[in-house]
Amino acid sequence: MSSIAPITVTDLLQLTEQLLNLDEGSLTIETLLVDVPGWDSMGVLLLMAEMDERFNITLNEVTLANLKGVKDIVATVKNAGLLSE
Amino acid sequence: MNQNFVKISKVLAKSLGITAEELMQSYDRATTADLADVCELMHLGFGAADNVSKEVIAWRYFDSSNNPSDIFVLRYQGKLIGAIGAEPIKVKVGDNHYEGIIASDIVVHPEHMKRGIGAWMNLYLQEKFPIVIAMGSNENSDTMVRRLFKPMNCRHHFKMLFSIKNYLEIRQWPVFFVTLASMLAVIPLALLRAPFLKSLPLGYTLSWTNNTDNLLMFFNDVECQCRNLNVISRSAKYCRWRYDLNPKSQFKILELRKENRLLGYAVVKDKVASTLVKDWQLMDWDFLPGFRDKHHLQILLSAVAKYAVKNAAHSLSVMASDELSRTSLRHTGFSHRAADDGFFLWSQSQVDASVLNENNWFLSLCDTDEAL
Repeated sequence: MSSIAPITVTDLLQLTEQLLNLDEGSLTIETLLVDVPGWDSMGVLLLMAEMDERFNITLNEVTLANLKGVKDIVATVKNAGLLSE
Repeated sequence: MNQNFVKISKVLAKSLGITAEELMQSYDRATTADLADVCELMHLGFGAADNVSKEVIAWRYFDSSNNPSDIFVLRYQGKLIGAIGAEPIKVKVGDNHYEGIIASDIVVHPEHMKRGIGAWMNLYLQEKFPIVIAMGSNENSDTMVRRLFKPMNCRHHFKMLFSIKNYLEIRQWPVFFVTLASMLAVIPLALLRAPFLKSLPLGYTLSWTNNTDNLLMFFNDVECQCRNLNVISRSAKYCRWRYDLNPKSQFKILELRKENRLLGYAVVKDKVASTLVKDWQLMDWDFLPGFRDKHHLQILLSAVAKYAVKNAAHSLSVMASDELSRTSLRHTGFSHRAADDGFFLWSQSQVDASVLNENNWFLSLCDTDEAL
């Protein structure tokens, strides 16, 4: 059994906001990453590091290319079985 | 090595399907064999700008006999996917000297953008050099640069207008209006600047030259480098490369003497832009320590302005950061345009903290003009 603590959607949004240097509440599940100013090389690198360290999820080139919106980040965590209700 | 950088390197390497060691080994100084690939990568990243022509890239990053600038490249699956220019600089901060670099021309292959590569290449340089300076950003890199560096908002632009004809023409006003406005503006523009321009005092002489030989003393004599400011120290070799060997810009050097003793100099770029405007730029200036004052700087600035008028320049632009230069420019009739976005600075913890005080910096276009 995995020892990694699951995360709620709300907390995941908040975490993503911190990593992308955004104000609290600026992301919703519908937000497209292309519209997010912090979705740059540094933001991606920090998200990759957090996903790896906290959830043991590797965002490889293919996964990153498919991240179009916040919902895809949520789906990535959900697919790893780490999203709590 | 910083543990956060090690961690981040491991994550990036993992995403690329390689080890952190392989990632480090894949990122190194380009060699002349990489010239064509670097050009191709820059064309992909920047389009067909004149700064990315093969001739300019070869001069800027691959002319090791005249210029120490490097370009670091990241190789992945047999091709270049990222590059970042690195111009070595010596930075004087208070009484201390540090080795640093100016990072420029950061580019990532379009297929690998938004993968953390640009940020990692910058972090690598920050890991390696005590001071890293970035002069600007574009829409792709702006937020990243602002997160990785401290913005230093101390670049002030000044301009002196000599003609408005071409400025109006590029706005495509009717020919009649442009001609009339231009005729009407000639005298007021001349009258406006006339009271500010200083005449040459008795005993002083001015001369223009195309070579940097006489500037040697300003770079080799320690006594000449005593500005009480943060300064990027330049070498005579750098100036030869930058001004004499430059394939894309022409420069002239004005020397101010008193009884045959060289007191100060100014470097002017005769820039003919792609528009009709002939906008000259004052790139750099300096004086011997005892003459580094408003009086002498105004004499030098006035001489440059008069020379620009004589050679039919439409305007003269200057970028300055320190108080003496800014005051002297105002008092010589230059209009303050705007503070630029500034430059971006990162320094390791052992560097004197005053490096982070933007008011301590002396910068000119010689330091900040990425177009060279």
